[in-house]
Amino acid sequence: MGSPLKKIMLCSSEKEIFSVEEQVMVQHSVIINNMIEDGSYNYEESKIPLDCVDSKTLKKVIDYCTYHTHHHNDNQEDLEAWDAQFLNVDSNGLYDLLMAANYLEIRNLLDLIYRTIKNMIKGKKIDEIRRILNIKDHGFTPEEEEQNRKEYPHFY
Amino acid sequence: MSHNTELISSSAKAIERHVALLTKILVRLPLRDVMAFKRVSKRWLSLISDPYFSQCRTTVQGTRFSSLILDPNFINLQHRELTLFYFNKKILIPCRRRLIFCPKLPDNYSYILQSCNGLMYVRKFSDRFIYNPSTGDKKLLPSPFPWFDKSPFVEYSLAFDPLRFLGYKLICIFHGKSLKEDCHHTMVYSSESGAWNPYRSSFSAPTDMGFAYDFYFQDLVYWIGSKSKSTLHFDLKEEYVKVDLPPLPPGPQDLNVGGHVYLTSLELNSKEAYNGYGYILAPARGYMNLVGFDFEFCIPVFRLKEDDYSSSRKPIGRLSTKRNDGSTDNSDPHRMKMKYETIVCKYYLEPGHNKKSSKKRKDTMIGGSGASQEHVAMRDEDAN
Repeated sequence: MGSPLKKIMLCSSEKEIFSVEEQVMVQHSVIINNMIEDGSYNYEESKIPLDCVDSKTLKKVIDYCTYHTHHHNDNQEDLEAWDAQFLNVDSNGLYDLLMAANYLEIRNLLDLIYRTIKNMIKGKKIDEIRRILNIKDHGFTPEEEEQNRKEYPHFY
Repeated sequence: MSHNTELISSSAKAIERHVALLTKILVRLPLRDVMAFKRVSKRWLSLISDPYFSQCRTTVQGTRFSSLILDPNFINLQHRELTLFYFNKKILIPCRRRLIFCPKLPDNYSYILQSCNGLMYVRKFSDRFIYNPSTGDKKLLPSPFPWFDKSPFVEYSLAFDPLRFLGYKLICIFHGKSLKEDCHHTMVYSSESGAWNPYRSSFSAPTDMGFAYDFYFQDLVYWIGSKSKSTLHFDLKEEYVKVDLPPLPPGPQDLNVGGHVYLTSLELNSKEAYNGYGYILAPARGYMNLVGFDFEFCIPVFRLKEDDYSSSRKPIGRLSTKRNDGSTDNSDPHRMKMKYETIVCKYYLEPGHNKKSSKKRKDTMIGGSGASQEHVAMRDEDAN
């Protein structure tokens, strides 16, 4: 434990720099792990540009990784409670997180968000899904749509 | 998560457009929702209908739906209704009408020829369909010949396994022009290409081979001869029939063997007239088994073991066989002799697959049942 914790720099789309413990990101993000392993990251000068992740989202992602690195021995219930609190964001925030997690390949976070969105749409009627995901152009002809509604009224 | 129920314009649209992410979300939904959400939009419809989707879904959810669909078509021709039994629930529940996913027959004129992992191969007059009883989807199959019915000897075998390959395949076995034994040919239809593969492989088969009844098992389609008790299998990956017949166990005289054995009350009552064994192939518990039964309800199970191709140097699907019940047990004909001695068979049927513990294991097996000793003897012979 004697050696000082190595830090890496992450740069958000607003060019804001975040300094994170290397171990935290390496453990969670496949992309950053690969970058460190193949030696393309220079600790003195490099910063990792994340052009499609804004500061607010990047901060949340770092929070998630840090918490799960330091609390991975906690019991499952506590972690789940923390996750639920963590995802207490508006829908746009949730979506931005999904894109960031997808970009950085953070598997646990991706799974968590997939499950959350799944729970949002599970058991919903088709009209509700269209409203939630803002699907205006469903692509069916009026005749097909009418036929579907007639045939499966309980889905709508 | 009530606070999350409203996704707003731009982000929501982007999720909807991002097919990979959308797939990851939708594969986690229960089947009922998946079926309903086909009608959300054209994009969702094509995404959910893709065989890749069902493969992902089976992998992510990790469970296979285990059930048996019964077609009581001999009982009531006017109101034919399929009965569904669930195996993964403790009680067998016949499907009721009010359930949404009660499997249905397309109509009263359709006749189920085969089924495999939830898909059915159905005949209606001179047409052939692939029919999915859970969704009601039906697809007309093109004939490899000008007509389905006009060829003198043609049989079809359906293979469908979402865990192993995309879509389904239909294997056509047909007889060449001459009547010699060695002129069976194969053609393969795959739902992915939507056409019959013109490549034809040829093979010879005993005249009693029951090509009308196939048994799908792990990328292989098996058939069994009604009298010779020999088996053939078709390798779906390499697309040809393998004729290396495994040695089959000795049985009682006057064997009456069939792919499917129909028992009528008349036959059951005249035991003397029907004196013998019936055999069926039955994939179960990760093995292909040959199950024999007679009218004393004595059931021997022979395990036709498939090699584990991840660790084996042998070609995929080479069979070795071993009688699984002890020979000394024949004294009591009323005793059910079905056994699952997986470990024993695994060790002694595969001499090339020696492990460190095998000698120790052998010692523990000697002095056990008669079956184990037989296995040991066989193994020693192999070593010499």
